[in-house]
Amino acid sequence: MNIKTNKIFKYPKVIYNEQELLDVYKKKFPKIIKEYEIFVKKTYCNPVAYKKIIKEKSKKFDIQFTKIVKGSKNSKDDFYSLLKTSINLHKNYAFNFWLISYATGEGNWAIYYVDLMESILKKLYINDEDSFLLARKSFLKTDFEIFYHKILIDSVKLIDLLKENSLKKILDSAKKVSPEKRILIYDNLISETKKLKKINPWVLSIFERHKNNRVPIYNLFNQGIDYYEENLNLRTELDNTSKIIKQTLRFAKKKLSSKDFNLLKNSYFLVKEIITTRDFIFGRKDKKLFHFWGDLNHKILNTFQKEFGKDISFLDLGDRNFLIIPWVLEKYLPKKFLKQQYKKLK
Amino acid sequence: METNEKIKKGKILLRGMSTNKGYVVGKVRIILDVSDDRLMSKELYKIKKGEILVAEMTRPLFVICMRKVVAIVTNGGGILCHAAMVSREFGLPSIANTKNATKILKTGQKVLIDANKGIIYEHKDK
Repeated sequence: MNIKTNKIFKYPKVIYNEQELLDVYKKKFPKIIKEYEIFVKKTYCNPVAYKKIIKEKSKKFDIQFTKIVKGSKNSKDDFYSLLKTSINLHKNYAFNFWLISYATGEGNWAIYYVDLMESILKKLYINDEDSFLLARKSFLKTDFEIFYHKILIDSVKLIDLLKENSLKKILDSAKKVSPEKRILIYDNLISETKKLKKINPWVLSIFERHKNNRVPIYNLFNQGIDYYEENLNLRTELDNTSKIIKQTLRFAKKKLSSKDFNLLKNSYFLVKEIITTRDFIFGRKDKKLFHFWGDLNHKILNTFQKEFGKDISFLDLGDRNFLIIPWVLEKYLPKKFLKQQYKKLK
Repeated sequence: METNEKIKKGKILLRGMSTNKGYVVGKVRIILDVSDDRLMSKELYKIKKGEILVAEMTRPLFVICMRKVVAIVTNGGGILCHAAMVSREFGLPSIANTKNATKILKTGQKVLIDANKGIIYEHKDK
């Protein structure tokens, strides 16, 4: 094990993404340290507790976020109000989003469970490197490989369904030319397919969904034509993943002590939950959140210039603005504002 | 593509976290992510067989070039990031969390990826 168990219970010193906020939040919201420690203690090797807390945090984040957005619409567009909205947004983000997706989801806490899983699998296949590697690969795949490789898997399905409809000739002609020159052939194929009486609803739904931008369809065709066999093998392999995991867990139950078996099972399910949480539950909030945050920060920088007569547009870092604003503004604020109003914001 | 561990190493260019082990030499291809999938696909199709994909982060669309590249290097991410998962699936050496690979490395530059140790070396021609 690379990471010692006692190390994961303390607020981290390093996380792999957004190290900036790790330090900023520690300083600005000291309660985050306690919150972190409570969270990791409650969820240690406990995927059920993790799932329950995530559900609560996610709900809390959404409620708070809606409240902040609503409040900002009703409040004035002056510098003080905008700054207040920004700080409230950070508070909600820190405790109900960042703590989950970054401080734990991308830090040593998450890596610890990957390590734990690996070390127990090594024990299970002590003299069998191949079985260990296959189990490791399968356990780290989680269910989301299918999502990540969707283009490749769907390309096989698409080609199979088109072949069924005697469109093989057109497909074969596409194979002979480079991907850049295939677009005309693909467009022809799409219109030929649409003329067919018996058309698979899934194929039709793909063509309909991307009728304004056909790039995703071209990608599917290219993958299906250039790498059909490889993608077919990938699909088979992914289909077998859950079978391998079930077999490994059954074997582990027989061979390992109940303590090790439970650690393996729980670390596997926790890793799965961590990825689902980070990439799906919270990942889906990203777009709405950062769109609002970006607009807000832009307004803050503009209003600053209007109210205080100082140009701080050099602080405009685009998408990464949310990392520094409002904290960095402190050193540019007039003394009067700092004394009278800024204190109230903290 | 060269995979011999005896290849002469140049100076260390970057360090990161190894997310899938392996040792390979290839030419860098920097891919800067754009949200428009049309432009992004175009960029990804430019990748030539045997190149090393260097990006800030990867996302599901990047899988369309995974059968051409020989390694993946990212600025961010970790053991459970998308690039790590995909590299494990395709058996590609990968190094995540280099912080600024897209700035330090240049498209066309020949480098040696030691994903056993998470180090990127300048490649020295024999």
